[in-house]
Amino acid sequence: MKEVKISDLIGTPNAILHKFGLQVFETVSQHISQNEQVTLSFEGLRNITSGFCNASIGNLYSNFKEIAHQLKLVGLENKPIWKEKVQDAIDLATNPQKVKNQNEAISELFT
Amino acid sequence: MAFQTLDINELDPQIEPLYFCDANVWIAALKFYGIGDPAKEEKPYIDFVEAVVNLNELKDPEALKRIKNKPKFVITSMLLSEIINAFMRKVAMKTYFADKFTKGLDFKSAYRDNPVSDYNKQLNNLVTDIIAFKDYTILMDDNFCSLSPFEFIAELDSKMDFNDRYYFEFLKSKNIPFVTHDKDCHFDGVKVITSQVKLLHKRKY
Repeated sequence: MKEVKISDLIGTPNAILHKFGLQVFETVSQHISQNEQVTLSFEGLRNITSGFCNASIGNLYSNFKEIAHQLKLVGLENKPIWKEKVQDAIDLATNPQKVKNQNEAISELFT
Repeated sequence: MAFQTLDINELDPQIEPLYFCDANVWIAALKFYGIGDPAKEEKPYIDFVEAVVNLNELKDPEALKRIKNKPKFVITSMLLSEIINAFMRKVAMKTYFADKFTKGLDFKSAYRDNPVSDYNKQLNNLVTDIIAFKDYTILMDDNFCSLSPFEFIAELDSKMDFNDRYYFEFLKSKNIPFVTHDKDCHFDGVKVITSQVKLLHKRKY
């Protein structure tokens, strides 16, 4: 079982950028590709955002069908808002039409 | 002071200590899905926000000596209100109703007060995303009275809405640059940072 501690990987307790989420995605996906079990730790973080969760957890769920059996999330105990963000990322990953709708609505703000 | 419009793609964020980002810039940065590339209009702003955060996260003492500023994002009450309202009305509601069905729907009855809609979840997600940026922001009072609102509301027209004009007066008084993609934000006396072609084109004339 590999353990990936997010705060150590991204070098900050603020997991707020999608770039940080992609760092997590790339690291975890390497282990998953080798059929390893991974524990992803949220311990030591002070803040997380939807963008981070989408780029990390959402991306993993989009790319690996069996991810739920290989990935264990820890450090979310007593963090209901974080749990909800993670669950939203998983839900969005399985609903690309919703992502498309949201992206289009944001793009309209720039027209 | 003349019009000063800077291309966000060529800007080094460390040159200024403070930035004021328009509501749509915040929404793009907060809500970019994170998989694949963002739309080309949004990318420079997302990259900019990311660069500011990265400057704040610098820990190498040598790198810290070389930078001029660890810039912060300025947030006022009106900006916060605009981010929340614009997102909930123009993004969250449209996403929930799949965009094309929102025409003619009343925001309050169809979405906000609808017990089966995802309004509360989206709102909670948005505000916690905003709060997550608190280490990189500075809250400022709007100084409403000192901005002489009765003078500038008399000058409003079809090309300048109240909020934009209010931001202009506020930013001018504080000498804070405005990061925006709004083509109408051509301000004399406020530095504008943008990738908006129409604004960048105007600086040549």
